[in-house]
Amino acid sequence: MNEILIAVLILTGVGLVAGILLSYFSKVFYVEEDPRIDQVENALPGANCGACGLAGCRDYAKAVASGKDIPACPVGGPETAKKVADIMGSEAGEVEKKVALVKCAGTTERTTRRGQLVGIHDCRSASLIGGNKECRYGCLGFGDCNEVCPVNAIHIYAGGVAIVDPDACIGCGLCVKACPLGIIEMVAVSRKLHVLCSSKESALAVKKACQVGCIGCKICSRKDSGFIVEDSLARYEGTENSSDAPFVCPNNVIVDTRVYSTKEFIESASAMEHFNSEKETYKEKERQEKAAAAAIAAEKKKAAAVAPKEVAGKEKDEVVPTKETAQISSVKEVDKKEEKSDQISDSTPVSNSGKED
Amino acid sequence: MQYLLLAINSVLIGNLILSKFLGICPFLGVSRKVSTALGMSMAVLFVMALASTVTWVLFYTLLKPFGLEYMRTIVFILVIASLVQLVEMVIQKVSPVLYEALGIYLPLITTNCAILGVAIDTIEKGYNFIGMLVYAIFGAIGFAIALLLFAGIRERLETSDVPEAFKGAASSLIVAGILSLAFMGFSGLVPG
Amino acid sequence: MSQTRTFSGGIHPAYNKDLTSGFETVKMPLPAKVTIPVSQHIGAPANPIVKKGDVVKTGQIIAEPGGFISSTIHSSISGKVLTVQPEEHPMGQKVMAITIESDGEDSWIDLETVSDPFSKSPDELKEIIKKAGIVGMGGATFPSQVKISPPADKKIEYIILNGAECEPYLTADHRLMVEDPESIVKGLEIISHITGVKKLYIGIEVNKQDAIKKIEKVLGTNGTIVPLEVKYPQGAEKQLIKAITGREVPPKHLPMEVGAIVFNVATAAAIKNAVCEGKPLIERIVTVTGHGVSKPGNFMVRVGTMVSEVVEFSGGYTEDAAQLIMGGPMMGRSVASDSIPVIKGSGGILVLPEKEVLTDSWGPCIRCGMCLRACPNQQNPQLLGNLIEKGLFSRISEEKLEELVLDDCFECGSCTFVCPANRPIVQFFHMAKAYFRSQKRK
Repeated sequence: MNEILIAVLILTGVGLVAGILLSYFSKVFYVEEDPRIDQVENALPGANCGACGLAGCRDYAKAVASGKDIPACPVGGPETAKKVADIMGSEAGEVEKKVALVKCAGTTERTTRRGQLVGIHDCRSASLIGGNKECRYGCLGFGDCNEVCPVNAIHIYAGGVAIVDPDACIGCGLCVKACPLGIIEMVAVSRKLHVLCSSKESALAVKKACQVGCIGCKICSRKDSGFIVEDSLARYEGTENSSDAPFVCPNNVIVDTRVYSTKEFIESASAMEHFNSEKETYKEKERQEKAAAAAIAAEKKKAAAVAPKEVAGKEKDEVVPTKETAQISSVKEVDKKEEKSDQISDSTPVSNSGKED
Repeated sequence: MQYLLLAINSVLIGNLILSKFLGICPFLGVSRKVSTALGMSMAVLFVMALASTVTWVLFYTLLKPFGLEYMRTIVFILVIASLVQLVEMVIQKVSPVLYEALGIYLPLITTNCAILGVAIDTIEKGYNFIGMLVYAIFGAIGFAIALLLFAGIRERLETSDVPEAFKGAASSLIVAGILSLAFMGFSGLVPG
Repeated sequence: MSQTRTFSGGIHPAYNKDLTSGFETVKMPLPAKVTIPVSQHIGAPANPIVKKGDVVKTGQIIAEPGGFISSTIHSSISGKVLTVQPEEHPMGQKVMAITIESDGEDSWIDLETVSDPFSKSPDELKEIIKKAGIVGMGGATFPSQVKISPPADKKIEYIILNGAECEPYLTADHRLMVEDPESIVKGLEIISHITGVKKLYIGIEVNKQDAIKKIEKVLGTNGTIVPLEVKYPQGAEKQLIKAITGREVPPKHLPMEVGAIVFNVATAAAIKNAVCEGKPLIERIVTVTGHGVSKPGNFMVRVGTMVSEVVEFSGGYTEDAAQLIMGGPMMGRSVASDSIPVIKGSGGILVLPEKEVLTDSWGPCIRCGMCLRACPNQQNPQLLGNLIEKGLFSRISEEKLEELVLDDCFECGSCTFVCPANRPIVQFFHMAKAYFRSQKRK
């Protein structure tokens, strides 16, 4: 009995001494650390991807807690930004989720090759000698981006072009840094129109190198002023997301992600066929409209020519209603067209019709 | 002379990791890079000397007089765990530089069986105070040698084409086994 | 003649120099059109000062230096400027270039000839060299006026002319030494006059006995000819200094750190032409060689002439021609197209037939250590190559290897040459250098 008592006593005693010492020392040697660091860290996604430019989520939390002005966590998106802002007691900056986009659709069949690449097969090496494609801005397809992607959202498809899966992409931006050509861009998810080309070459050089290159013709910018053409290369920065824009592009460089995913647009022959038939209908419609407009104009001209100058006013009265009816009919046409495109988007495998609302 | 033999014995022949198989966790865990392995080794050296001293004193002043030798394991665990915590706090306050270098490894050592193993071993082998110190310090040096060697090999392994199935833990364990075999070769170094 | 000297490391590739070394240099007829890139040298590209439609004369300045380390670019023919736009460059990228259509007359600008260059002050001579756009013609294309003006705190003891021409196949320097030793020696004397250095050396590999004899006759007692062992890369700047002076240039430093300046023999001749005859650097000897061309030889080619035209002039490609390399087989670069211009640094155009091109894939490193023995810089290409292959750039930068080793590597290719697993080690280095350069920019 005594033995047990002694054992218990001693163990308790040792434990007590250790406990007292620990609590005492934790007071005496307390090191001030911002409690918000832990809170912020808990609010972060915890992927430690380094997309913010810091070594990991803990570093990011430390930087935020110390009051540094650093951009919001690109992976977490608005929710994380709000949580962090709540902890820090400040306003959350507007952060829209961004995903990576490889701005090239130049698959092997569509591009001219420069030669056979012997030696190291990766983009960084290939870019040093100008790549194996005639186009200096074309995706090299050796997958340096794929290697750095933490979530495996980039795949190199058979055509030798890297394509990002926007649903899997967490928007860390590592691939943007890895691409030696700089043809990967982070685009906001609300942007539906993308120009799948990075070539700043002149139209002639683009024509020679690639069937699906942007030649800087500026037709798209007439359709939707969100298209900006610089260095003979278009990019989309608007918010209008005009669904007609892809059809006016002579080289089929613009993809509408509400209708086709980037992968389908580049890869799938059936999607391309579908796109082409759509484009044909659109063109047909445009032609009809033009013809109608031309007919009206001609009629007007004729009327003006026939009518003597004195009765021009009277004649005009007759012309105006015709014009109005023409306008109405063209509006109807557009309506019909929109209906049609809705139907089509329902029938395509990746229906985005829900997102359109 | 006796202590020299003890030192050689604890570094090479009775190497903590490679022949007693204590402290396998940090051996595999923090051996990715030579620099982190070095930090870990230094932390182990520090804690091992300290913990062995404290437990040795505790054993001979408290446990032995009361006839409680059988309770040494549980008491040592308690003492070492709180000791490491204590040391961590003190270092963090007193020397932030040292804390940066060793700090992240200290909590890992709390549960390191090599520390407890050495503490119990000194009691079991009945070393006197100096013998205990020599055993603990050189034991830790032996630990450091094994860890650094292993980290060096793993760094080289990183640049090699290891078959897919053997990548990571598998090849590490194979290397550890071969290293252990190599250390067996020291077994005839000290007679007796 | 003293014993041959050399450095440690290096390799002995098949030289194949007898394809072209025995033939006189042929002057190529004027091209109908030249495309002159504004970046033909190390450093900042030159800024074009002509525009489309301008009429230029041969030797007229068409682009001014774009910085301290930069060079002047001249028109190599007379005629009309067709375009000023980015064009294919031998280095693989597209670079701003000036295309000039010849009027077929080759009418020169008025040349200022100097009969006695030693009456001019060093500063005047430096200005002439700068104006003439002289760059190192061994291939590195470092602007000569920069090289010739060392900072005041560096004491220069040796001027070394590099006639080693260790690169297999190439014989452009060899032919120059045989055909025009007077210009080379005169150029050396001018350099000596500018820098005030009296210890003059000309290093020549002993497989060029005829060149040694010719130069010896002209040089007399003004300088020393150092016969060098036939070994690659004997003509590399730092290796040449080691062989001749016994001094080792430390990593990250220029040769002037050990009191030496090295010029290629062709550069010396170009300096003489610039100073004595007022001629800027608008033409150079190019070796067109390899078993992929019908009639290999050395040609005096105007800068900006298309490679395709030069090859055409040398009899055209043979049927099995497969690979086109600008430069020699070791340090040259494989190019995808022959519509690129000859530039100031192009010493050779090498065409390899199909059977000589290595297309095998490479294997894993077997750690044989042959590259360590071959490396003229006493580095460890094996470890570094493996690190780069596995993408472990962080480990390289942790140990500062990119500064200590990579920057020092001049990509001679000895490691790749000896590798039994055909590993593209030097290509790894090339890629890693580009990687670290882009890291630094960020």
